[in-house]
Amino acid sequence: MSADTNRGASTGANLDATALAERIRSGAITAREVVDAALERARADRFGAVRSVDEEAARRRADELDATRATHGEAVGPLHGVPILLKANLCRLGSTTDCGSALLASYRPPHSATAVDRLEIAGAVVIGTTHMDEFGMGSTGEHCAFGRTTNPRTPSGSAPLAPGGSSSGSAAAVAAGIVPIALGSDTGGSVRQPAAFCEVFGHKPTWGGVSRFGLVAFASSLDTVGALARSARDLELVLACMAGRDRYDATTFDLDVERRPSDLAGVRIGAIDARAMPGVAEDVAAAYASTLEHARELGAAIERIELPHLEHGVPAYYVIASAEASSNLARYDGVRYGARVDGDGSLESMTTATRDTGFGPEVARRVLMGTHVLSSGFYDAWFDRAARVRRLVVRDFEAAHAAVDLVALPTAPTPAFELGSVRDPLELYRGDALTVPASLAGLPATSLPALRDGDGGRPGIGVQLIGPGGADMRVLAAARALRPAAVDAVDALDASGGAA
Amino acid sequence: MDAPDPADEAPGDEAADDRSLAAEARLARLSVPAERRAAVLADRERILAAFESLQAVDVEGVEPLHQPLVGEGAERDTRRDAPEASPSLADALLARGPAVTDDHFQVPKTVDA
Repeated sequence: MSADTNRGASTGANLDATALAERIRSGAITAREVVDAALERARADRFGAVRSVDEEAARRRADELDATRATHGEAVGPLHGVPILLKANLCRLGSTTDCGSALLASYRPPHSATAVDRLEIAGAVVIGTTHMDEFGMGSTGEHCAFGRTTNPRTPSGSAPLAPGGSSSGSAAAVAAGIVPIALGSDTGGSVRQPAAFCEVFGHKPTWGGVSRFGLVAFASSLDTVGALARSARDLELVLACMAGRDRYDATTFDLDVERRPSDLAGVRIGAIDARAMPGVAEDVAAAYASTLEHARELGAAIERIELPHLEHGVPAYYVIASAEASSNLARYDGVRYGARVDGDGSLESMTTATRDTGFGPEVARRVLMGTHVLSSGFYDAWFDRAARVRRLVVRDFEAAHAAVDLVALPTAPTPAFELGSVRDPLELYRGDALTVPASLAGLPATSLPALRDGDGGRPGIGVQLIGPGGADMRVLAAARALRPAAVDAVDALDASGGAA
Repeated sequence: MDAPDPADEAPGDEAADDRSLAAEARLARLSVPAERRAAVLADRERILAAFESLQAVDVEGVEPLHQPLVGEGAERDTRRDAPEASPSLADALLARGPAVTDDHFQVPKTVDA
């Protein structure tokens, strides 16, 4: 073991946040050393995960934390000194919240998101922001105005795999070992799918469990703030810090964040026949089956369930999310935010020119689609109908959760695919088939790297556990039971030693 | 006005599609130049055709769901719908506009004298 290896191991390249915080609490290492090492890895980022880094502020905060610990002899909170990255759609005072969009390239919000505030109060040190698909619209990271992110799990010598999206940079940063935890947002799978592709853990909380105040809105009835980490216990830790009521988001309630024992004995897990589902790749179905088999060996009862409206999830989701996006993104009018592009001198042409220039093609596509499905002639046939089908999706889960404790689905129908190999928007939308149902129903869902026994399949496969509303900690405890250990970061040593 | 049934939407009525796309693009404050309309329409038609399965779902008696609020009866904070004076935030928000004069966002002239 080289000196670099020791250093990488001790400063967090391969430790999860829980272990890292423990080392800082015990005095084995300082917050400053940990943050310095994370900053060094962020500088050496070769996956295009990191969008911006604020080194000075991060060091200053780490020094403050060290001083506080020296004075009071204890940590300020459970995340004392843990470096984190934020998806660029989470507001933070002092950071740039560009949402992956040229329109907001230099936007600096006047406030911090509640979730971010709470993590900082718990001792986390925000070191910067990550690349993302523009406004959360995408599942490959390619719809980012500021460059693409590659998947750290790409086998050496292969063409780069897609990291998934839209929390592409957050997932890649965690998989690469730059930080143990990164925040993302999940509207239709944007935490879970990149977690699966990058083989890390990702949790989408119950809708209303974590405040969306300060999360730049995409589709408000679906948007959630979630985290990505290399262990399930880190996700429990983060959720416990950021969940709960917030007067600035009236949908929030006091989510139960009590940790549960990681015991699968007697837990009933509902499973679908993945092989019978169109579009599910053979290696995904195999990895799903071996993960369930592993759960069975740990004492879980695997029971077949039906989700009769599963196939309608993608259409319902894209109609509803596009409609909400067309409304939410109306605020980018060239008057209140970001860059303005002058038109022919009229207000309308200025707004239009600003949006034409500022929005990428996928955002424009969805805004147009949303405007269409909300227009008077089509509202009933599309938007209203999708909202009714949404209730049927909820009822499917209610019926399932009456029979089993948790529902297990593959996170995505395919493994991580080659970056750039899928261009057809419809094919990309279909890739969300297994994540959008929990989004439509507002349910908690955790994606964990699939447990595979040498199936020879491709990298980047996850399995998600979905619980009833509010059962986030039960879902996470089950994920922890299935995979108790943290997953390794990819060549954390290269990144920390700068040797790559 | 009766809402047209999309099932009756004649795909051949290109002029009508063209007009409705132009109207919707204007509502969305996006420009779809005439030479791109056919491509944008084709893209939309293809996507909606793939979503056509929604039309076959039996939604008789099913109410639309717009917010997946779980935990019926869970206590939630609803503030009084009243403005809270925050001069510093007002200034901060104003400062983020691309063009500002005094205490106002500046926009191109909208009313002819």
